[in-house]
Amino acid sequence: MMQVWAIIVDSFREAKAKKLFWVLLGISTLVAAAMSCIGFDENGFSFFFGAIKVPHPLFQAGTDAAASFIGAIVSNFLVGTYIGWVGIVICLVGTAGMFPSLIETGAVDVVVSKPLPRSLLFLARYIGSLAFVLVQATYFVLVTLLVLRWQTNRWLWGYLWAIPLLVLSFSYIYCVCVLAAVWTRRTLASLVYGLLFWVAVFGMASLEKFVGADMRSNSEDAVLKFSERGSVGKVSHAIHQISPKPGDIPIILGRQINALDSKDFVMAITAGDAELVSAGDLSNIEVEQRIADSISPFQSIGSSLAFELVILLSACIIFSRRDF
Amino acid sequence: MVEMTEMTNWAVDLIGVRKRYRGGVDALRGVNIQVGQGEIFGLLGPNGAGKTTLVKIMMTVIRPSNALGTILGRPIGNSRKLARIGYLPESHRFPPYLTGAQLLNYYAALARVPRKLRKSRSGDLLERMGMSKWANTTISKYSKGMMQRLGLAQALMNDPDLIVLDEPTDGVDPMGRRDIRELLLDLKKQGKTVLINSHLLGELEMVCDRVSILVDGLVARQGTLKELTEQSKEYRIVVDGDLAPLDAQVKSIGGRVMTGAVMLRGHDSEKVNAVIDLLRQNGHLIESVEKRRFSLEDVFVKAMASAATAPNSAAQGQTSRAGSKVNR
Ligand SMILES: Nc1ncnc2c1ncn2[C@@H]1O[C@H](COP(=O)(O)OP(=O)(O)O)[C@@H](O)[C@H]1O
Ligand SMILES: [Mg+2]
Repeated sequence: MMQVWAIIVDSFREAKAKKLFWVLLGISTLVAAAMSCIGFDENGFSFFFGAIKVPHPLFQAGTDAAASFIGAIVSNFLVGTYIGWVGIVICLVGTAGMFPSLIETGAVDVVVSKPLPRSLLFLARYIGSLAFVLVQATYFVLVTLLVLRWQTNRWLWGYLWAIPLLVLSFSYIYCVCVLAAVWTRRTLASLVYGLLFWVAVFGMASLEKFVGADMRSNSEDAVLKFSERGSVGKVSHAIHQISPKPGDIPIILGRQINALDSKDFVMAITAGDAELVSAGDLSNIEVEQRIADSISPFQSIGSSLAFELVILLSACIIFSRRDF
Repeated sequence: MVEMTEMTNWAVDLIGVRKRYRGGVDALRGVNIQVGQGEIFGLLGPNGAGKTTLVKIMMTVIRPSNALGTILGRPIGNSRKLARIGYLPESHRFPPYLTGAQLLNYYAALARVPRKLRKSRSGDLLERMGMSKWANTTISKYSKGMMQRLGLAQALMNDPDLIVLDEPTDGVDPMGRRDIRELLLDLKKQGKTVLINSHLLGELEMVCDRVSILVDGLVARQGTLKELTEQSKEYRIVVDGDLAPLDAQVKSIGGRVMTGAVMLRGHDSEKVNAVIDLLRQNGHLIESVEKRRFSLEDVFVKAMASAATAPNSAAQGQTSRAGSKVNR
């Protein structure tokens, strides 16, 4: 235990020594500040701390509707876009070097020759790498939680789920970086493989949405059954079943904070203006919403974790058996 | 019987260690090495001889293709015993973001040293290495020599029974080398076993009890310094005239006839006089008698040369490998 703790502490020190660590904290602060520019008063929206006021019948200070509106912004933009894309890329860049630096020639010798099984060393280092992300996510979520409190006059405790969920969705991708790292010992290769994998995962998820969505208006299912699909659809379905699903994370989080549905959200910001949003767009949004509603957190997270476990196990076996 | 008790007393007893790297390089081709308890053992050899490979196998950094034997009485890789070994790897790279004190603490924690001991020992060792001033400076600001001192301190943090040092004098100035020699003798006084690995001889000659000369993945010579240099003590008697007719008689005394000289192994003055008598009786003029003693360096060079001319003579039946490098 003493050994595992020492490795985690060391990993965190390594992370902290990187400029990127502080840069990301800075960006998070800026994003939280930008977020705080959206506010409410008793008549409706109040942007830039009252500089611009837009009256609205529903979204007023202290109302549930306002909280749901903010929740939608949080799950779609903050978690879905900022953390889900920007934050994860920066975290990947920041942590891609963790395993290569551990197994660098001249550095690996000392740690590997200690009375500690390599598998445990591997595991401790993995957890230590995630600590980088955990700290970043915790900081961001706590700061934005305060902003949300100020905006909506209530504590969105469900939003705290964002911390583990963010670390989780990061780890879906990061495990591939680790596998590439123990294989090649190179930081750049680790990062490139991780990013490629991520792009592939999102590509496959989009394909699955495209070929798998059940567009029949009378249908109760969100996605087509396996038997109803063509061959591309079948392959897509099979891959989707076993691959990690980081795209589901904002949706799962959105439920935790009672975010507005996509459709309601679009209606809300456009005030149902038909010029801004066409009927076709709306039906697309509706289908997406149906798919989102059909996601089971247990299945999504469970299958993603199973995938992660397989990748990590392979990486651990390579790490345990290779010569340094 | 004596041998049996001796066997169990080896701090390091490696038998038939082989390593073929992926890609087919035979770095070790059946190495046997025995290091006695409490001695300073020098593992010598030119670059590429396989010294580092052997040490890495001992420290579980790489897996041997084949290896028997024990370290501190347990098979290689035994976790309890690894906690009793200190290791300074070759051209080590320590995490640059840590301070000297943090590094010692971290590595000692990995070696399961309790927290309290870690604190007091890191202070003592930094002091001993003359590094106290730098304890709270990040390693990125250390010089090569300071890194090496820190590396030595790190290897002693677990108060090890066996200390394995791979090229410890690498990049250290002459003063630092003297300090390291003194440290080694100090450790010996404390009853610790030291295995030191080097391609430089000068420094080691003075402190090693026994050495092993590794050439091209095989032990070319092994023994105490005295034994190794004893073998190469000789008299050289330079004579004029044709010595061929005396060949048999010189041989019977124990010498060898060369062109223009007689060589005599060992430093036995009676034999020298016998040879001189023989030469004088046959009318030869003695030009000079040289008493020679080879330094370890000569032994080393000789071992390398003989391995180079007959790379497979000691290869235990292995077939020649293409592109075998010896003198690099
Ligand atoms: N990781 C490796 N992969 C392949 N060959 C290696 C590796 N490490 C060392 N070698 C080769 O093994 C031989 C012995 O190397 P080494 O043990 O480092 O020698 P020394 O420490 O005596 O200089 C050399 O020929 C070297 O090129
Ligand atoms: Mg070496």
